[in-house]
Amino acid sequence: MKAFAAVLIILSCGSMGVIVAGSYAQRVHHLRELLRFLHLLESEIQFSRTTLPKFLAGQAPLFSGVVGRFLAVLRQGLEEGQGDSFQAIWEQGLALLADNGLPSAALEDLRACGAALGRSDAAEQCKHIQRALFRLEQALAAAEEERSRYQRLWQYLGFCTGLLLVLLLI
Amino acid sequence: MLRYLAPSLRDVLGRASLQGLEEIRLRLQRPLMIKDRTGYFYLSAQGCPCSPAQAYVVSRDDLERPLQLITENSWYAWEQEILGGYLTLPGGHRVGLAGQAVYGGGQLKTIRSISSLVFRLARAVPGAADPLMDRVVGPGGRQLLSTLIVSPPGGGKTTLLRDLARQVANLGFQVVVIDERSELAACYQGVPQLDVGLQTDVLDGYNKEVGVQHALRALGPQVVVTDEIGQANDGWILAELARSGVKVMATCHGDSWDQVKKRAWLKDSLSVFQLVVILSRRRGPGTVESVLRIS
Repeated sequence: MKAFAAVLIILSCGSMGVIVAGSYAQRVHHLRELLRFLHLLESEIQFSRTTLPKFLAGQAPLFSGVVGRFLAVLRQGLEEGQGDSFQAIWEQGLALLADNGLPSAALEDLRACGAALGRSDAAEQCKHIQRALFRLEQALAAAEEERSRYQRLWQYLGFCTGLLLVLLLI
Repeated sequence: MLRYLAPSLRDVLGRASLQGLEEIRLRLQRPLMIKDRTGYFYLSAQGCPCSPAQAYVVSRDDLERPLQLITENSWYAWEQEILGGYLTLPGGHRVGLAGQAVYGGGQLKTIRSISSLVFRLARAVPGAADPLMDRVVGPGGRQLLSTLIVSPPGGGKTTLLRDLARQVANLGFQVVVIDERSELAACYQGVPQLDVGLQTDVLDGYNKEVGVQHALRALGPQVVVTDEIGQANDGWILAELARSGVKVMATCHGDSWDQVKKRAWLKDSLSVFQLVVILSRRRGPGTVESVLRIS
């Protein structure tokens, strides 16, 4: 019985560590997906002049996870809207990203980009997207560094904490 | 067209009687103005004709929402149309824009701070050219005459030209419409919203010079239809068409044939036309004053 309880404590603490460590990897994944989305959007605006609803209808299903849900919110907002500004719809989507651990600096950059999207000519649009891409790439580099520094640490910390608790209890 | 308006404006217009509606004019922080068959008038928030002081005042939101709805929140996708000063809606209706011009490198780059929107309802009049068809196509409908329609602004020349193009195309002639200002066919996403005939190709947004070269090179027309000739090089364009054996149907501003004949740019090109139709507004738009056969 004691051995079973010890294993349970170690596994519980260990899995908590794995979850925290996983959040670092998730953050990197979200940022990469956002970068992919913005690169695609830039090309579509620059070369095809595709409208935002048409672009989102085509691309939203191709993205998974939080970014996929973010794009689905934008798509739905545009399809059902009564001429609401894209900025307002974008803000609803950003709330979803904020709830899923996107760094606040990256959120601010996306907020600035969303305020300009759809409101000017193609050259201006590309400038705004380029600025957001630059900032997101910086955020991605920081997130990757944090991941390499803390991911393994949290995994070890979880299991070690579990082991320590077991030793103290024995 | 009303679905492109802000909900508040839709409510106002929903309460109004819109029989014979022709225009809706939205000017920022100024009274809502409507035009119907009887003329212009202001509209109150209750949808009743009223004085300017009692009229519904147009807000920034009333101007921005239509633009967001029409452009689908994608201003960049409508760049060319915006630079041209208007947007075309499904049905061929048009929205004229006024605002602040932004220039770059000596060229108009975009329009900012939109301050006015003018919604104009498109209305084709099938059969408008019926009284002229015998004169234009000749006996048996095989011999087509190049035709110039002359009228003052608002005289119905574009409406007549559109129906002429439709009827000529439906008789079996290959027609190319060079629709420089998207008024004849009113294309929306490549589809003519107004009937210009079964055998008609539409060069939408082309200027006349490029359009004529494109038509002659690629489309093999028997008839070229174009609106509002009057630029300096239009004479050259007409001569080019005549050289290629293509019939021309065009419109031109003017009150009378004598006035048109005096224009220097047209003098050498008048021989292209075999028939001249003079219109006026004397008994409403499209009143045919005279039809002249030119030898």
